[in-house]
Amino acid sequence: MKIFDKILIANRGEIAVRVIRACREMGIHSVAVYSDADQKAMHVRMADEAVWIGPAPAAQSYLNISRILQAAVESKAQAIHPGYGFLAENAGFARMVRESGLVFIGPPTEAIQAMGDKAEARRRMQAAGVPVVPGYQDEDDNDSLLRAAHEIGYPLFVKAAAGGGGKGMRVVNDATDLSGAIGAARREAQHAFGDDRLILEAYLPRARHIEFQILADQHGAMVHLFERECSVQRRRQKIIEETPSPCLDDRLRAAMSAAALAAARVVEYTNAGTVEFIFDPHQHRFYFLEMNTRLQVEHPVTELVTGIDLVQWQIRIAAGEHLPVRQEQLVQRGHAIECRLYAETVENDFLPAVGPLLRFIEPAGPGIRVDSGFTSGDEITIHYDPLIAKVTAFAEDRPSAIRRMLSALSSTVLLGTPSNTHFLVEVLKSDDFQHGRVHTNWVEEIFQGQRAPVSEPAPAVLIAAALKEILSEKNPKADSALRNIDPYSPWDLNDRFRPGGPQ
Amino acid sequence: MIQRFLLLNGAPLPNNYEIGLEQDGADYRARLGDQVFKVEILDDIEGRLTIRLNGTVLQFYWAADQDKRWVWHNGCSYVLEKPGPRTISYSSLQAAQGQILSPMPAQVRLVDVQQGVLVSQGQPMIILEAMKMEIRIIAPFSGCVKLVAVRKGQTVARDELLVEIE
Repeated sequence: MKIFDKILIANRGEIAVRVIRACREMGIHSVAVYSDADQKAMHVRMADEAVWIGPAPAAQSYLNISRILQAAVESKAQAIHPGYGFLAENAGFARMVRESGLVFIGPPTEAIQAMGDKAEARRRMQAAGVPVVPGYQDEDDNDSLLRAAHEIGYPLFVKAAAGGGGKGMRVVNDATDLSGAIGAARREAQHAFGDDRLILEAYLPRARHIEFQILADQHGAMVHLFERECSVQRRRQKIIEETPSPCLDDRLRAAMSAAALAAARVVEYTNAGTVEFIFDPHQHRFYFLEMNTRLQVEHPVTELVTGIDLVQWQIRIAAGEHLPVRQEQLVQRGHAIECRLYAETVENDFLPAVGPLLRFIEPAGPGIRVDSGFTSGDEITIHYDPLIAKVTAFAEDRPSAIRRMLSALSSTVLLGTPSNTHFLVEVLKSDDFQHGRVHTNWVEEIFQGQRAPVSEPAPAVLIAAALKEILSEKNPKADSALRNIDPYSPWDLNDRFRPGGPQ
Repeated sequence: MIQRFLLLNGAPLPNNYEIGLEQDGADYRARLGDQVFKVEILDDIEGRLTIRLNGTVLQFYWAADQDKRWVWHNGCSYVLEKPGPRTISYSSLQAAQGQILSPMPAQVRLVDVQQGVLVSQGQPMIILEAMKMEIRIIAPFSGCVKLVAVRKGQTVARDELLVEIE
């Protein structure tokens, strides 16, 4: 069977790097695309070829479908891997890629469309007997939503029908907040997805987020690659994922995986995808939340416990190959935990941060995998997602994996931008996490109001800092990591001064 | 020689530190409060500093960004700042005085107030957007808008002035 000669990766950051690595191992040439902000980015440096696709704003570059298609055609790529985010779940993009005679490395266009529409997905899952979260997905004028909300009860979620990744989503605690939340969610949805339809879903505050990885070929074979537990979230986005889940037993795992396969079959799914469930640990009930029709950020934990390279299999499946394994051949071996290193200010409500990575030393060692999109000297900018890298620890059991991760994080050096590294350590060390007692609101409940920044520096830190002031003055060449010691240099001002300009 | 730093790390009120350093042959004597330390420099290359402090070997990574000094030691990163003319301001302090600063680098998507209008506590005044997130800037107390410092479409840095109310 013929595998591709050349693949274009319509993405950036760590996921573009991940796909480029898979291509390299398979002997496939990789084509990166980049915006003005990413001219020297790691994915551009690593790819065999790189094509400029536009200015920094994503709408003009990584979301610019015609420009990306043109880049693929001109570079003679045979297939496009969309990564996650950007155009990965854009059915229109998948269709246009296929209409251009290229292979889209992902599921059928119809499956993306059906699952990308939360209202449509809920209807089809209900019809197939897959349990969905109590909610409402029909006429979405404000009056209908108000009536439906009354029936569902509070608290509830207002969600963009076209949404994902925590965008266009609002929690509403009582009826008085509903109108405001509907307005805000509509605006955000219109802006982010160009589609302002909304659905309502009951909000289960102490529930867990558990998802199942699906892999299906184009010849009717479909397997699941077990679950990922993703309950540690802040701002409704995951920060720590692991497998196996500490709260599933074999009976539940069997029931949920069967539901996941059923959900994927409803839309005749092929390639890699993930069925997300909300699990209520008190009632031992689970509900379909959504299906992500793409590779997930957290795919490494699954790769480590199953030994399957998901990205390589995405490419093989897209080329028409048969799945190499049957369900009964797959086992979960050991335990894997992933931590997402974000440029963000934990004490400032986990808001994203920007800055240069003056120094970034990735952790290493037995059982440690790092998926990074940046190296020292790169910069986290305002334009894109602030994910710096993913650190995954693999060990024989959960306690060992946690210890391995703690050791890895404490050896990670990251200077130049605030990050959540220390916060991740606090989470991993907490009793609740160690006993597997977390839920999707746990971070907010436990860490709200006590987000003390890093404690007072030890005398040694202050002495080292003072010493460096003297040493770097004596020998400035010793510090290439020293970005700029002259605070008055006009070249480093952050304001909008332009010589000869209006300001 | 005295070196002075403010501790940043997002602390609402910066702490002041003073470290005295005296050269002692190839080594240094450091003074912090009433403590005195013997410091030997073992290695200083590419921002990686290894010292022997009162007999214990310690390693640090260091980088500078204008007035800021980043120091990593033993799993933690610290941000210190050399006190200078551009010492930064703090959102929470400023908000109490009616100066509303941007909580993060972002683009201004909507400006819903003008100079001279009255706003009530909790009223949304500005909507910022960054990394596709919507951040509503609300009035911390009721008052009159004294100044609108930004306009729609513009980008703002963290701690940049957005609106002033009194």
